Formats: sequence, structure tokens, C-alpha cells
Amino acid sequence: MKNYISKSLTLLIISFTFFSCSKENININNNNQFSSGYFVTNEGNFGSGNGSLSYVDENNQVTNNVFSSINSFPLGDVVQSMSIINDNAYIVVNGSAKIEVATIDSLQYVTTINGFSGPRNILQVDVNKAYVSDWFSNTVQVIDLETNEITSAINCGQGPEALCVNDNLVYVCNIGGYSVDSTISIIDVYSDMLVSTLTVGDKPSGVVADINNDIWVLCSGATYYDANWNVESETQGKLVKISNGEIVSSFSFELGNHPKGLMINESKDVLYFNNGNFSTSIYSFNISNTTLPTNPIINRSFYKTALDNNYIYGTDAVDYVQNGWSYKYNLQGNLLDSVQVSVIPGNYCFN
Amino acid sequence: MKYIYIYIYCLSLFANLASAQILDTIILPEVTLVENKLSFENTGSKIKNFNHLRNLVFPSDNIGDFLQFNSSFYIKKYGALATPSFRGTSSSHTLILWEGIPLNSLSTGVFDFNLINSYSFDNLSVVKGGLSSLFGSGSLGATLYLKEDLNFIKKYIFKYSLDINNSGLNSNNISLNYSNDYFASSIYFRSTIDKNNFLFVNTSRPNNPIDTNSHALILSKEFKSNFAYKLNNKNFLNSSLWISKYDREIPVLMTNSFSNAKQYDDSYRYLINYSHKNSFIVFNFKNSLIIEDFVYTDTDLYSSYINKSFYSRLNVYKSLAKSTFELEFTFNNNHVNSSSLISQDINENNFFSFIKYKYLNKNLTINSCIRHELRKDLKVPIIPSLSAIYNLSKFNFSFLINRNFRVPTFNDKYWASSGSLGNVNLLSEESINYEFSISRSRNKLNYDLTFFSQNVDNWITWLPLQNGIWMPENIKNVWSRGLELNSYMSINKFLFNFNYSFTKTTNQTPINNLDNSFGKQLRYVPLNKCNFSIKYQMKDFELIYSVLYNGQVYTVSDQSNFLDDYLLNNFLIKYLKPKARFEYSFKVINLFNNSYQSYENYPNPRREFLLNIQFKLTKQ
Repeated sequence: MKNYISKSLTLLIISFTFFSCSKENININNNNQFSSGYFVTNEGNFGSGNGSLSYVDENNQVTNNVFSSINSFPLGDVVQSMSIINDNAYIVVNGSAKIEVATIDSLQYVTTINGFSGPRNILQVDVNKAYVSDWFSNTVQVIDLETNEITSAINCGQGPEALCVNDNLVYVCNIGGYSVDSTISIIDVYSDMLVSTLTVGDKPSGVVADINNDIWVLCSGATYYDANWNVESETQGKLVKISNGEIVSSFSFELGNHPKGLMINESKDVLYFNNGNFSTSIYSFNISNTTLPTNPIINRSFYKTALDNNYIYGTDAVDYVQNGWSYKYNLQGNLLDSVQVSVIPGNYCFN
Repeated sequence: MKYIYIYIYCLSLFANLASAQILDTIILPEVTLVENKLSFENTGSKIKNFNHLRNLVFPSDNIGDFLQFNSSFYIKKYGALATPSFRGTSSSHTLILWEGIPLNSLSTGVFDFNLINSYSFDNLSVVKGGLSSLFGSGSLGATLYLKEDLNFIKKYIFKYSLDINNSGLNSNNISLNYSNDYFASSIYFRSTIDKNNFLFVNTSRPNNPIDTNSHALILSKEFKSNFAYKLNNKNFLNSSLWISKYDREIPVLMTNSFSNAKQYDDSYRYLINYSHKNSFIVFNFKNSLIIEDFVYTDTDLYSSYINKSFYSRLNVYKSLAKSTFELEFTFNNNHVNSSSLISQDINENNFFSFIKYKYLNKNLTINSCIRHELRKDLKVPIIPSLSAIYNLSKFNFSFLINRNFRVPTFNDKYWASSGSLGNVNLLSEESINYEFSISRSRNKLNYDLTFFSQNVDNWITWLPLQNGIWMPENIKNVWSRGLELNSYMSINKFLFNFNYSFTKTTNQTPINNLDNSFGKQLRYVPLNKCNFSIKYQMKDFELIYSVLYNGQVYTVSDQSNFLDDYLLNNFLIKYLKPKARFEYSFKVINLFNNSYQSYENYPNPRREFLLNIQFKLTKQ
């Protein structure tokens, strides 16, 4: 039974994507050994504690287990995501319900932040403040970046997942945890108060802000089965545009498709996402478009995807119990590189 | 309806064959067992019998602890669980039978070895390798056969036994055996509190501190009763009731700081058996009901099931001068009630049968068996086995070829929870198994060398589909081959025991061109495993020193990461003065305080001390 629970949990933990649309306030220290490349967080197998961090340098040389080899202890169970904030790496370890903090110049261990129930993503929202979406507590936990401690918690909807800060407001996707939620919570950064809750569509999985300060939310839609394995009912995936706290437009995907993995380019005017029924492909959508795209730019399914400096990255976890791969494409969809990373490569962190 | 005719046909065929023969004297097994002698003996499979198991173990020993020091089982311990692997197969490929009735979970196919206490049985037989033709689904790696031992000899035994250790264990056991010429009974009750607060070096935290295993409490209670009646010289009736309750906290993974998970396993097992023996035929009619009541809770998680399986079995046995026939017919009803499945209640009726023929010559035994199963929504192929055993002076040569299988579990077929879905179109896992062995016995040195090669096809694996939903599929083909050496030797007051196994188990089917697991050893299958023990018997003392070596195991399928091999040493001293009412045993487990892991990032106890005091009253 444990096995199945593990599997469900694994699924639960791995099946959603993280997007942080805010990289402002990130200090880049150019005089360090990890400044020129990027990191891949490898979830590892749920219940095995073998999550890890890989570093890919500018020459595409990969160093696996970079955190554990420097600090002589492993990161833990299901390494979910990582953000670089104020010269520190904040590595969110979902299964171990903690965040490991290390210096970004040498990845030396600094401290551990405990007190979460199922942390997903960390996002810096102010000079000394970060928000962490925390699954089982259905809250956003507030971190004091001076002391690296949790100072308070803000109640959200069910299963808070992706976060995005724009104009001193934080948008939280409530993906629904084990069931379905269809809202986003909007939080005021200064007061840490919930400003409003918007109903967007079932299972909001990603949120980004565009060049016009409009917010885009991608909802994956939900599926329900009957006793004979037939799809009993299904809700459509949606791409929703929010302007000044109100939904201004909404695009519905074909029923049966469950889009995920919302990303935005550097100039913040083109959205990218994975869409499809059984197998997914990557599509692009200009924010001024009036219809959803029909031709993919990358015709391949990925476990997770990310976009940085006008490159699209995607992972393949192979059989989920061996070292996976990371692929790099340009925005035209041409494959540029591939590197082997570690077990279940999930998210990226770009320096 | 078709199957009913088939069975009637089989039955009538058998009756004709039997009646055509001259009535012959049956050499009934000497033991006054109510049932036949174990019908799997002399089938060509290698069997290790542990008789009088209670004399070999501590009351608190679970079956996994015992088997890893006394057989080739690799036991993985993680959280509250202990699961077996034998000959490279998965944990659902070891079948556990209680008096012939399967105990593996209908939901998962696995039986947690931490849920069987080795002290609750008289006899345990390990049947190495698959023997599905006799035992049915799940017998691919090995089969454990648990057996009660009742006989009609006048006696009265009362025993009380207490186990304590330095990690917070307190186990109380009471047993009462009473028997006379026509009635035999045994009643057993155990209550255990195990805080399980052992110390370990936490290699997954900064500076590797010594931590205490916490949130690891196990509360368990077990009640067992067996009754047998000799109605007359030909007719016997016996019944058994076995109830166990385990409430367990699930300890944390080393990398995690807390756990809220708890697991509750309640089992109710009942069987009644009627046997008739005369000079012409022997038959047993057995009915059994097995109920598993399982609950798992964690933060924001509640999962439960109640599974019931009912078996009604008729076994007919006919022995002639040089041959024996055995026919078995089983009706089985399985019912699963679980909130995690596609429908709350799922019910199935199955019919199994086998016919077995054994030919015995002076030096040659030939065994053949064919099994046929009719299952709901699933085609199971004919499952045959054929073996030959040849005796040449002190040597025995045996050859076995058979097919084995495992049907998909209820979870495999009907799971629908948290983004994972079962697959009703799954086929049975099937294997073809070859074994050859040489054994030598009847002297001070006994050994047994077995070579095996088994190819398992349609191996069920859960993988995410491209749309992200996890689903089981018949993907893998796994080839397991190797050798097992088992030997023991007695010299004066010493008894030496040595077991070694070499198991090469590789994945033969890559899932795509990136898959780097092709041809590589399966995860958590040690290439080398070995155990060794010396027993020294003095007048009032018994000393046992035992060593276990587990070779390194890979934790990932492409061999890019592994767990170190480890060596464990145990030392046992037993004070047992003949006819004394008290008996004392003291055991040091992990004598050299080794840190080791059998599953990645799950701690194991460092040195532990275990004390047992036993009080016994007997009258014969």
C-alpha cells in the first residue's frame, strides 16, 4: 500500500510546474564558481531522500550532486525548486518539508528553514522578505530573509503552487492539492494581507506577468473518471488574462487537452506552454494574439520546462529511477544541446 | 459454464484412473498431521524447512529478521515496512501461504514481513524459486509456507515468555498446548510494545549527528488458536483462527525532520479443514476466510481498504505402488472495498485447479503438474511444471522446468487516486524458470548447489504516461540467473551453516532510446549475499555466532548510485538446563555497531541487546 501511496504522492508532487515570473532583485555575484551556468533541481524518488542539485556550466559540463559533495550531506526528499536570493541559494525540498540555504558563490551550507508542510516554491517579494507556497497548510509562508525564519502565514486556496510578483502584489495559483481548486489568491506584499481571490479555471498551474503588467494564468483543467474508466466529465484548460485585478480575457483549450508549463520570454511579450492531449508539445502565444496557437514550435513531451535568456529548457526523466536529461532549444524550436543530469530533473534555476 | 465441464471431466478422469488400479496400501505420512504431508516436497524445487521454529527464534523476531540470517532473502527495510526479494524478483513475487492459503495483499500483492512474527508458527518452509503450478499466482521468486503442527500425543505445555531490548521493546507471549489421543489444541497470545527508539548516525544531516529513531512506535497484538479432532482413525477435523493487529507510527526518512504518518493493519484469518484418509484415497476439504483491514493516515491523507478473500478447496490424493496423483480444485472469491479504487467495491470469483502426477522409481522421481485458472477478466495461461530427481549414492541431481505467473493486483487494475490510474488491460506477469541442482546429504557435510535461470516477461511497472498520469503497464522483461549454495556441517559439538547466493538480475527491455537500464542489474538486488553461523552446544548452554553479508545494491536503474555492502554480526547465548522451568537467552545484534542501509536513507539500529526469559510448565 505504501508503494501506491508513494506513487500517488510522487505523482502529486511532480505533476505540476513551477514558474516564477520575477527575477528582479536577484543579485548576481560574478566572482564565483557558479556564476556562469545554471542549476537543475532533481527531485529524486519520493521516499528515498535522493533529491539532488546539478550544475551545468557555460561549456555544458555537468556536475551532479553538487550540493551534497560540497556539504557532505544530501539535500533530502523531493528537491522541488531553487531560487537565488540575496547571494544565497534557497533550495526547496518538498518531501523533507524544508528549505536548505547555501551561499551562491560556493554552495556552502548556511542554514535550514523548517516549519513547512509541503513547500513548493520560494519567491523574493521585497528586499528582506520571501514567500513560500506551502501545499498541505494551504498557505503562503512568509520568510524573513535576514533571519531565515518563518514569520507568518497567509491563508490561500487549496494547494498553493506557482507564485508571481508584480507591482507589489503576489499572485498565487491554488492548484487544488489532491482535488481541484480554480482560484488565484492575490496578496499585498507590504501588509501580507489577502487582497482578493479570483476564480480563473480549474487547476491553475502557472502565472506570469507581461510587459504591460498584465497577469497571465494557465489553468490545466480537471478530469473525472467513472467506474468503467471512461472520462465522466472534463473541464477545459484555460489561459486567462488579468488586468488591474480583473479577468479581461480568457482563451479555452480544446476539451481533453491539459496545458501546463506557462513561461514568458525575456521581453515579456510571448508566452510559451505545453499543450496536447496524450502527448504534449510546446506552443508560443504572443500576448496580442486573439486565438490560441495551433502549430507547435517543439514537438516533444517534457517532464518539466523552463525559459531563460531566450532559450527553452526541458527535462526527460526516462524511467524515473535513473539519471534524466535536460534539453536546450532556441525559441525557434531548434535543439541546441542535451546534458545528462540526475534522477527526475524537475526545475531550473538560472543565475 | 465451460469451466465447470472441464473440471467435471478432470474429476471423472481421475476417478477412472484411480478405480482401475488395484487397491494399494498407502504409505501414509508418519506424522500425525491432520493434513497430507506437504505436497510440494519432492517436486524438484529446493526447500528449506525450519521445523520447531520457536526454538530457533526470539519471540520478537519478525520473519524478515530470521530469514535474512538464514536464507538468501534480501530484506529491504524502509519506514515501518520490510519487504523481501528472492532471486532478484520484486517483493510481490514472494508468496506467503498459511496452511496453503495466500496471505499476500489483494491490493498490493506484497506481504510486509514486519507483520509476521516468526514465533507464531511451528514450522516454516522456504520453497526457493517459483512453483506457481502448485501454489498459483505470485510464486515467482520464492514461497513461504507457514504451518501449524498439531499431533495427538498426550501432553500439556504452558509457556510464558518475555522479550526486552534497549530500544524500548517489551513483548509478552503466552502459549498453551494441550492434546490427548483424539484432541489437540494450541492457543497463543502476544502483546508487544516496541518504541523502536534506536540510535543511528544520521548521514543526511549536517555534521552527521547521532539521532534517535522517532515516531516509530509499534503496538501489536496477536491471537491464535488451533484445534484438531480425531473423529476416528479415518476422519479428522481441524480449525485455526489467527487475529493480528498492528498499529504503527511510520518513522521518518533520515533526510526528513518529522513524520505524521501512521499505519493500521488488522488481519483476521480463519480456516476449517476436514480430512479423510483410508487405504484407497486421502482427501482434504478446506475453507478459509482472510480479511485485511488497512488504514494509512498522514497529513491531509487518509487511505484505507478492507479486503476479503474466501477459499474453498478440495484436495484429493491417491497413492499407488510407484506413482501418486493429486488433484486440487479451489473456488476463490475476492472482495475489495477501497476509496482509492475506481469503484468502491470490486468483487471477483476465480477457479483454480491443478493435477499432479508423481512417478517414483528406485532412484528416479519424476514430477509433473499442470495448473489451470479461470479468472475474472484475465486469461491465465496453462501453468505446467516438470521435474526429475535422480539419486546416485549420496548425491541427488535434480532438474526442474516450470512456468510461473503473477496476476495484476487490484491496485494495478483499478487504482484511481491522486493522478494515478490502474490499467484493466494488464496481463499476468509470466516466467519460464529452469533449475538444476546437486545435493549431497546423509553425512556430516550436507550441501546443495542450485543453478537457476528465470525470465520474467510482462513485468508490471508503474510509469507516467506522456500526459503525466501514472499507470501500470506490462513493460519489462527481466532475466534473473545465478546460483545458490546452502550447506551445513556438524563436527562434535559444533554446527556450521553457510549460505551463499549469486544473483544476476537484469532488465532486458529499454523503454526508449534514452533508457540506460538495459542489461543492468535491477535496483535493490545484491549480486552477492551470504550468511554464516556457528553453533556450539554445551551441557546447559548454547552459543550461536552468526554473520550476514549483503553485497552492494544499486538504488537507481542505470547503476549510477548504490548503497554500500554491509556485514552484520550477531551473538547469542542461551541457558537452557534440561527440564528446568526457566530458560534465558541473550542476544547482541549488530555486535560491531555498524551503520548500514538496506534502503536508501532509512536508518537501521546500531548495536542492540535483546533479553528473553521463558517460563515453561510441561506434563506428558
